[in-house]
Amino acid sequence: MMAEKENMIEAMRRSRIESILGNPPRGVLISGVFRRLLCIFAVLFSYTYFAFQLIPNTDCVKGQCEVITNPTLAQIWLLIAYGIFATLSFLAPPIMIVSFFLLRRSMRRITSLPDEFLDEREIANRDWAFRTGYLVVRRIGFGVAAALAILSVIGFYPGPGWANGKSHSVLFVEHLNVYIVSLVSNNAVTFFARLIALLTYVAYSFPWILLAWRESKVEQPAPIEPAQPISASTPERVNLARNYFVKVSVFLAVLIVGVAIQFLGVLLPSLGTWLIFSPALFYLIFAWAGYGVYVYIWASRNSLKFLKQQKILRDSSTEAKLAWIFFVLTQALGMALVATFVAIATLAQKHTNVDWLGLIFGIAFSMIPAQALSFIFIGFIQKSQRAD
Amino acid sequence: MGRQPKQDKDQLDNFVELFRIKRDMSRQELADIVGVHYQTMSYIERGEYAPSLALALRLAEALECKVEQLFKSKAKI
Repeated sequence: MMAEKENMIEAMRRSRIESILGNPPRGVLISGVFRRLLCIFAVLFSYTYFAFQLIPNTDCVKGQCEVITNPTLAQIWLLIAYGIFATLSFLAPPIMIVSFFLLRRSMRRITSLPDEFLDEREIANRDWAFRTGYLVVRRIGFGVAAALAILSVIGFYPGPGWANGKSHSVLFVEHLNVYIVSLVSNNAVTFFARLIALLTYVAYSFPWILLAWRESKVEQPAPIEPAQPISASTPERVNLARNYFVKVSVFLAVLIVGVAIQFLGVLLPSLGTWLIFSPALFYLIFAWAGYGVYVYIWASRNSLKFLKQQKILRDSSTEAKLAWIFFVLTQALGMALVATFVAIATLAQKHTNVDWLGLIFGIAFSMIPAQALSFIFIGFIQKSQRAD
Repeated sequence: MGRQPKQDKDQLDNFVELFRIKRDMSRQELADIVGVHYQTMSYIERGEYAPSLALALRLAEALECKVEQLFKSKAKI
């Protein structure tokens, strides 16, 4: 039993190593400039998100906003700046998460492989990045704790200077207290959840940021592609259709979970309205739509490569023809979707009777079976060729 | 560590690139022979990483020369 467990763990470890070595980062992920851009994005948006959390909740934020009838120029500029700041802060979490995952994918070889697969410089750099990351988080934690300890002490013990019957230090802590209460007054749980999530993000991403920045000094050469990349007999091609269905399953699973959460929110009001149309739902929709576009592009690119190879091989089988037909149909639907977006931007105001959202979802969801059928027939081509 | 040496006494004059070109080897080929990543070779040649003694010996063996021909200390004792 114990030996079986050890074998299973060893097999999992080996499979992970093989997966990392077999799928090295490609394209922009090995570009030094792109890695540095990801680092800059992760840092900048973390700061933006953090800074936005420090804006006190005024009555205006709570929906009791005083209407400004004749705003001054300064007020207009302030509103514009606040709007930009709020938009950036809203976009920050998904950008931070995507940057982190791309950095992780880009640096996975160094951070996830055991020492025997790395050279001495890579081991030293990896250890340096994780050690520095730990030290930074440790110092931030200590700094915040020390500052709060000092503030709580000077809030009780009067320091030099005196105003309105109170010492300056006591007054300062009182005002700071009012400010902190205003930060958490809207929703204390959400405020602390955001702060802790941000700290967790920093702890997770900081070593990757350091490592990626350092590893960007020298451009890495693109991995050497095999001489004949698309061959019907290679195991890589056998996995193509399977990979597609895994990706589509993830896409549909996220949709089902998202809808289920919304239903849960409606059916069980005691859980609270936070489940319904929360900012998290919008992030989920963005991420889901982005993932859908990624799957579509990935699938189109790979199936085109494969089908071109079939044409080169002069495959006239029915499966190859049907795979081509469904591939073309998927591309036509993709173009129809783009055309619909253009139409929404230009015609939606005039033609309000058209169900634009329904049209988008109709086209988008009909792409899935079309593309799936194309991959099913690709799978059949594989089978018929292996039978030969 | 892959950092730029901060003190003069740590700095090395580096002739790896010269010897590699003399042997008509690509950076990738040399990296494969001595068992390091391509990027590590670039860092060594740029003088941004001082290799360990073991790696320096492997480099010397691969380039058919002596270690002291590949690396020379800038500091005078």
